[in-house]
Amino acid sequence: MSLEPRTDPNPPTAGPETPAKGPAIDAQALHQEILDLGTQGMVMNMGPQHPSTHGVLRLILTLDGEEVMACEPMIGYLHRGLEKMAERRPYRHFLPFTDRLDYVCSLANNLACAQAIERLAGVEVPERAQWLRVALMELNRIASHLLFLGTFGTDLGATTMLLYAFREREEALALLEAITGARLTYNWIRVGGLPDDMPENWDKGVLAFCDLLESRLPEYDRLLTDNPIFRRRTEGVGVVSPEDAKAYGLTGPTLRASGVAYDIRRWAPYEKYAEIDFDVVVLRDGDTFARYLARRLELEQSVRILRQVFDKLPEGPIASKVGKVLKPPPGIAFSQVESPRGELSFTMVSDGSPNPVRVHIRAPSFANLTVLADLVAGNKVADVVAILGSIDIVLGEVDR
Amino acid sequence: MERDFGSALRTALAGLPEGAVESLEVSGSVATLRVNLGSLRAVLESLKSSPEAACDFPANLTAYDTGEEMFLVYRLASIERGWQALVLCRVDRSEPAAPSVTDLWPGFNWFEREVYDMFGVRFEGHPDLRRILLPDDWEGFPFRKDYVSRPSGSPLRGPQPIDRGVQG
Repeated sequence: MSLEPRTDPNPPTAGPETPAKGPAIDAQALHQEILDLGTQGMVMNMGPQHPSTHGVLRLILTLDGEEVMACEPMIGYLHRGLEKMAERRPYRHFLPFTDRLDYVCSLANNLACAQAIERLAGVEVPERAQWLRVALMELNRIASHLLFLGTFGTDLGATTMLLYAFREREEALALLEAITGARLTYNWIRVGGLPDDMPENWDKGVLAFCDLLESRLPEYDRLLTDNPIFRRRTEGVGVVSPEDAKAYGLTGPTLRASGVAYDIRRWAPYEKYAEIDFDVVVLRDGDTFARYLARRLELEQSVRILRQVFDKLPEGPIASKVGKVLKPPPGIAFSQVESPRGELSFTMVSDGSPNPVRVHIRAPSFANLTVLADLVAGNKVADVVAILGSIDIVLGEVDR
Repeated sequence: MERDFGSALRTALAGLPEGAVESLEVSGSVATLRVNLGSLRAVLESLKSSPEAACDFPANLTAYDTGEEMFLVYRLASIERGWQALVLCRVDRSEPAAPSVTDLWPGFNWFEREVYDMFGVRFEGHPDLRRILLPDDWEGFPFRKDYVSRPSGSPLRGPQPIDRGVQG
């Protein structure tokens, strides 16, 4: 997509020229000299209980004053062995567990799990269910991105944003509650379709919400996108080159902010995404601001997709008939879903029995987090919070 | 797509020794390759560097154990071409080991640690092969089918059975 060049009302400029006093100091050489003397960094634990690590992530930072020399992320504090639980029960019994992976966008997990089973067992999904699944995905994506905008603002001290984002997120959650009956752990996608049709006038509610959200987006821009303090904290911080982004296996807005156009909705379309007209948001800079902006712009695309869904939604059944005991033929299958955080993929292996041999969850947050250590080295401590916030991880799916 | 991908893969893998690729199936935009452990690294390297196949994106790495055999499952995608290769490789169950590819894709660092953590596969050449999700003092590798789960439960009620088997 073409993106208008950013117009910053107050572009960051270099400070007033300070007249040089005395001989110039080679900072790098001095730094090396200090290190050669045997200076040790200070080791500081950030987390696992820390508000800006967004859950139970522990970062072991080695600091040289304000500067981060090394960072080692420690994960696993929320490991519940979900994949092992999946091996111990029939295929469909695992669906409610998937809500607890990425609990900010649990419908994407439901879908990825159901799709892997459908591909393994060769189950078809009716048209109407496919369209409704798209609507649920995008509504949940909006809720997730709004949570990101709010918490990311809070990470950087723009606490007002949280209240604005939650105001709209509340509407999205109310709509999701109207159809699924839950506000966070929806468990609303079944193998072969959906458990029930949408309630009456639900589509009108969603369309009204689309209009509301669109009218509120300029407020977000005034609060964050055009905020000079926010821009200076994020622009040019934690830059990932396109080559690095690919080598590290980054996905989702984190990857697309670095200029790589990889969106599963377009790259390997599932459900009805192939019939929908939308832009894949790709930005060039690869910095913390670009990662923020990618999600902010995706909100508009989600609204676009939602409007098309209700234009095209056909009548018909919402689930196909699937036998009570599901015994997929032996083989291996994987699903790919574009969750708000990136490529979510379930790999399932069947040996023909009612229980899977193996279920592996490729969590986008897990892959995206691998880049963090190299990204924060050399930055200031305060930037660690900004960079970590811009990767938008959910520990539920990192640790599984 | 299917024909293009098939021929691209054959060109990419042409230089490899006989028997490196045991089987190659292309269905739509996904190719499934069964690869000999001895040539695993060479196959992955050719898939990445070949301008025809261009599978340079590390999409996924995992493993599975059937009780008799253990397999590594790599998934490499080509973002430009829109296709991906699923590479399956059998490892020795009694002493599982495989060459590390973290130098080709730093993104596979944690994935290899996870496979080591859960299956005990030693990735030779990995810079930092430690457990990642489980505590460092965990005994055994839980995703091997011969792993016996320790019964858990309240100490007052005594151990409770976990594995109830299939329940319909």
